[in-house]
Amino acid sequence: MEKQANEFSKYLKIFYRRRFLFLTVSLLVMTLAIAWCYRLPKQYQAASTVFIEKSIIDELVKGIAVTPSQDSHIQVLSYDMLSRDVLSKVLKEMDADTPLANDTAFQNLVDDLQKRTEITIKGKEGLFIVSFKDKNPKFAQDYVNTLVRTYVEQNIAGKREETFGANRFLDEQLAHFKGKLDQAEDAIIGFRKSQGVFLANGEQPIIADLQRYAAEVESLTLTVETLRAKQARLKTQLRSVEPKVAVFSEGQKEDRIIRLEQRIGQLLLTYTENYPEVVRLKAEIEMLKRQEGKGWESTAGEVAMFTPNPMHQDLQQNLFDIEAEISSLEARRARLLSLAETRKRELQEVPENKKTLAVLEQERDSHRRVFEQLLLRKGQTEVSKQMEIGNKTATFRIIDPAILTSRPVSPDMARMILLAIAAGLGAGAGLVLLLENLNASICQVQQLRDLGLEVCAIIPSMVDPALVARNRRRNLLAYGVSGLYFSGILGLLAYEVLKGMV
Amino acid sequence: MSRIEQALEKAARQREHNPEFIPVPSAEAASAPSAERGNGHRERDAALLLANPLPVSSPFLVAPGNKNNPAAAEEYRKLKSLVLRLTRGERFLNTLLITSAGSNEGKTLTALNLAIVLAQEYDHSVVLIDADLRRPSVHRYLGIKPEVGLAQCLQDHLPVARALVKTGLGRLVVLPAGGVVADPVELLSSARMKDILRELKSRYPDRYVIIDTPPSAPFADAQMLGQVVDGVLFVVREGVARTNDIREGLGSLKDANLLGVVYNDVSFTPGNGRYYYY
Repeated sequence: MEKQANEFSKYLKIFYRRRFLFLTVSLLVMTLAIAWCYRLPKQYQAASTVFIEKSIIDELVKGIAVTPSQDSHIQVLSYDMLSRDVLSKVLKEMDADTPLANDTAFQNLVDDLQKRTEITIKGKEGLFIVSFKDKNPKFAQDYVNTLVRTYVEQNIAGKREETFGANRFLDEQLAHFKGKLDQAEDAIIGFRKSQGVFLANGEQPIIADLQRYAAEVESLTLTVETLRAKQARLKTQLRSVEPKVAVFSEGQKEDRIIRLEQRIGQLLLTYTENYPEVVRLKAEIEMLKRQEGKGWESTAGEVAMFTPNPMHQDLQQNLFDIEAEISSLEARRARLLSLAETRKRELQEVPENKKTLAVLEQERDSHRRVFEQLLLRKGQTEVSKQMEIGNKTATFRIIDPAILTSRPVSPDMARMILLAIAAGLGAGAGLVLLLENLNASICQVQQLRDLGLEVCAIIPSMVDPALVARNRRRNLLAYGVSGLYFSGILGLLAYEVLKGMV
Repeated sequence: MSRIEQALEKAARQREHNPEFIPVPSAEAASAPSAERGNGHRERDAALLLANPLPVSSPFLVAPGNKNNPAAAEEYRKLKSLVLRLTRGERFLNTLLITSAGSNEGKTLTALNLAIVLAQEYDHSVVLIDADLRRPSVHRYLGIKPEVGLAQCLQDHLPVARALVKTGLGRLVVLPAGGVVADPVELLSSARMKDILRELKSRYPDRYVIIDTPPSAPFADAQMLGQVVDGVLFVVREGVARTNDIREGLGSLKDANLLGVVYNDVSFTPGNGRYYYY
């Protein structure tokens, strides 16, 4: 506590000793600062408040229709509103771009406007405030109103374009995905066709077929073997039978004709003359009769007639039949073996084909899902489009347009004077303390004790009454002048405060 | 307040309306040696009191009747008490040198005021020597215009008794500087100076010799005299003396017996003026 009191006393002494310096510097700095503030150009502020209005229909159609998100617009509102595009439009509309010499000057102006335009978004209240300061209050007012109007118009047009664009996009996507879905379906159909019925039935039927083919081949092999044995036997028999035999001798010829005619007579009792046996017998008789006038073989004086041996012919016929049957069976067996090979290949290809089919089906399903989603969205966008057409979505409403103001907002002289006072006091105090720090002279008895010196006496300042009176007068004069001067500053402050309140 | 002080105050009141310089009274008679103490001592005291008191007009002197600075007067009395305690040991340290590191620190005022308060004691007479031959100022505070002083005593071998000035302020006698000289160090370090000091110191066993000197940091005067005095009081003025100067000034007095520091011209008195030196 005593230490703090000593510290306080120390600083009090410092300031008292350098009081005139403190007063002079403080008042001088205050004066300069205030003068500088009054030389600053006046700035006028124009502000416009815009309400972000949400339609009740918006809530009603939630889930059915999709309206462009207002939140996303608000998030980028500052950037969007102060984009070069918007500001360029604003300047063109205000005809503020005409006096500019070139593009660089125009861009510089746009940059300057971007820096000086303040946008305060109050999300909870659902509004935003656009404010702008300029030396020209009319320009500030026109600029803010034009900027807000341009932005709102652009926003509405943008939202509409967004909705209509979404609609168009969905139409395009629907067509696109419909095409893709058809292609996928066609691919599946084509593949199924190429793979036949086995793709659907899987491996079991093919295995059954293979088993059946193997059994049939086995059976055919046995049959062929049997027939080959018969063939060998017939060949043996055929070699033992004469191919020709003497049909008759002279004596027998007539007997034979008689027998044949008798036989025809018997057959005609049962059949007509067209019966084959009857026809054949007639032909034979005819032949025998023709032979009466023609060749006769005579051997050793005996007249005989040779004809093909029916047994031989019969055996030969049998042999031919067997050979034909063997060929037929061989051909069938070869066919069966070929089919078995084909089935074996198909059996190997079944998993690969199934996989391919699965991929195709997956692709088809994917396209189908997207297509169905798009169809659903298409319905929503139809509603959204109708809402946009009916202007039923959320919109911006200018509730407080910028007005022409005659009172400058900057510099805030009351605040500036306060700051100048603070700066003056700070500068005065700072200088005093700086000089005190630079001053290495002894100001505290403790400093002497710290030097290890014995302090015999502490003699207070001695005063000369005349000098004291003179100093008092001088001090009073200085305090009076300073007080008066400072009162003037405070008066100026009060004037500025009152001016601001009116 | 002692009876002497009361008498002096009464005399001061009587001459308040006549502040002009008065002729400087010679202290020869007062400085005549006396073999015996006791009655002779009392007679000499009476003779000193009968001297015309100097019309002190300076508000900075703690002369009787000056009510301008009671706090400072009280502090000087405390300093006097301390000096008496410090100098009355086995050996009477009666020659004191007052100096400071730099100029304008209040050496002369301290020397004068200490001499005045010491001279108001019954048991002591005081000789104040203005050894500041560069810028003498004791005579200005006392309002006297001495024609001769220490300089003449040193240069012309003028007897000291001829140069002493009775002040009428208690038993204070002043040896003024006698003017500015070109070679003060040579004069102050001369054998003659030593003789003068020895004479003043030893003539009266109860006499204090207080010497006012130039600052010790820039000049060697104080250093020279510091070697022949019994004690040194170092004056430090608040806000004027710098630490380095103090170190330098004290460094030049390292062979002297430093009694302590007088912290002078303090603008505020912290702790309600309560100091404890021991």
